[in-house]
Amino acid sequence: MSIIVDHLTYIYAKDTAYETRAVDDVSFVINDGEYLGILGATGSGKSTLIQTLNALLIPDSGTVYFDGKDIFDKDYDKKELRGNVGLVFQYPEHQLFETDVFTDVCYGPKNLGLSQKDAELRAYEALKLVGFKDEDFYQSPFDLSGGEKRKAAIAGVLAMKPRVLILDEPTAGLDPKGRWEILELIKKIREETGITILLVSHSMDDVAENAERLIVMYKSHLVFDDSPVNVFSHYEKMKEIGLDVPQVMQVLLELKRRGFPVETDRITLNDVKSEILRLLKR
Amino acid sequence: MIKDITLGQYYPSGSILHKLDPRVKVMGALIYIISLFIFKGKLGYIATTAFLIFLIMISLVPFSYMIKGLKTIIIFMVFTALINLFMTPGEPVFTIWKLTISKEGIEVTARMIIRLISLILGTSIMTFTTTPNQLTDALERLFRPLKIFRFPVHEIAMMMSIALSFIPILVEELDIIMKAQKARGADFDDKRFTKRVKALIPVLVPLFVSAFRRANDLALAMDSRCYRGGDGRTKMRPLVYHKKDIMAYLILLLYLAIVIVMGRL
Repeated sequence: MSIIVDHLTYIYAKDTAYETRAVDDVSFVINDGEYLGILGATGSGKSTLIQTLNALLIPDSGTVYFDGKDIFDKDYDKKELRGNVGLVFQYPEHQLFETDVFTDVCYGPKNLGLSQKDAELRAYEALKLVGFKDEDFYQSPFDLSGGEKRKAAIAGVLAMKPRVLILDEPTAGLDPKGRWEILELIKKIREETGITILLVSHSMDDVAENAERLIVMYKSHLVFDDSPVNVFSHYEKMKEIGLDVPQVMQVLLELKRRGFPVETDRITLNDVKSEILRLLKR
Repeated sequence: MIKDITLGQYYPSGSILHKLDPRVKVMGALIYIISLFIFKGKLGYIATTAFLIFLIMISLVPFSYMIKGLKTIIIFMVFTALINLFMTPGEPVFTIWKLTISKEGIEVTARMIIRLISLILGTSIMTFTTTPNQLTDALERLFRPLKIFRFPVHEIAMMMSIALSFIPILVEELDIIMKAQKARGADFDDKRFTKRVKALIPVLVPLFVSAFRRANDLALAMDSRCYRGGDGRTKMRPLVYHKKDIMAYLILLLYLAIVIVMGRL
């Protein structure tokens, strides 16, 4: 077991008029090598939750264990933790700052105390992994397209060789092609490195296609922790908490409502396609 | 961290002070500052401090929240206190090494500290109870007569309100960028000064880039809504004095009169 979140509570602006409970008594486990999706409407606490996982935020009560050790212990090495649990923020391209992409990607591994040579090696690997061509390495990050910038930023985190990669809405603000590219990239990273993936999203389709397990947050609480098929079977509850079910599943639900004998526990495009074909062949 | 700075931050407690016209509060702060420096005797301190306590009570802002704001300027206060304490000549009370503390020195220091704290708390009551936008509205209205001298009152007020509304946005952005670089192993707590300055580059570059981007977007948005300066521009909510504002002015004048009288005694 890689990460255990134990009765975590985080309160913003405690003891002021602005006090809000962003995360309230949340517990779950992230297993090694898993592709976990975190769903939740805006303001449900998912961003706060993931920022506690690498000790950027310190919870008011409860704790997080990484490899059986409490990460909020005073002598726990936070820098090493942040190398192991890589966090890609929303709009990560806004954090690029160096004069060229390659130097920017070197920033993370160098902070971990690696030599210039080792850092460059890791930067090279990471940029190759996200699909950068050699000739683009020395471009200014500010000259790249939106999708490329984002890939460079993800490479910046990958270069630290994390064992867990957390991505906060990595497809936000991208066009369909860019979105597809990023999701494929995450899949590829996982296949090639065996890394644990945590995908935070409010796109039902993105998580349905990719995640093996889903965690659903609503008003600072964890409401579901189950397989995507099981979570989306509660479609009424999902709508109630400001979420939805994948678009392809909505087709099946509508068909069923109109009296067609379809199974509705299909959530990916391919499964829904074969279910509809099965119906047509009958 | 950065968000802990409360000096002059709006605190929505919905008190009577919050509901007053912002012009009253600006003038009130001005009158209070003046009142702090026009008296000589001890009675004046009682009057100004009593009025301050009265304001703090009716503002409904927790006192602990106000004190947090004072902490940021404590070094400045200690520094001025020490200089006054040692540099005022007079009847010596006791001597440490070459430094002499005089009776007059203690008195001057005590007076100065009380005045300084009153000054800061008094003015922060205005900012605790007035949003930055209300404040600029009030200033724009109060300075309007300067237009006769071709002073660009509206333009300056607009710049001020843009700058003010950008502060929380940039603070939040700064917070996110710092966290993002921390997630990449950045260390902002290093003891060595040069290291700490160097660690700021990965924060400042993205912050400036984003500030320029936002400024550019805002300029475009204003342009596309045909913004062309203050001439002939009307307000959605023009500032109008109500009964309670007149009352507040009267209370302020009464207070000023009391301080003047008590200061003479």
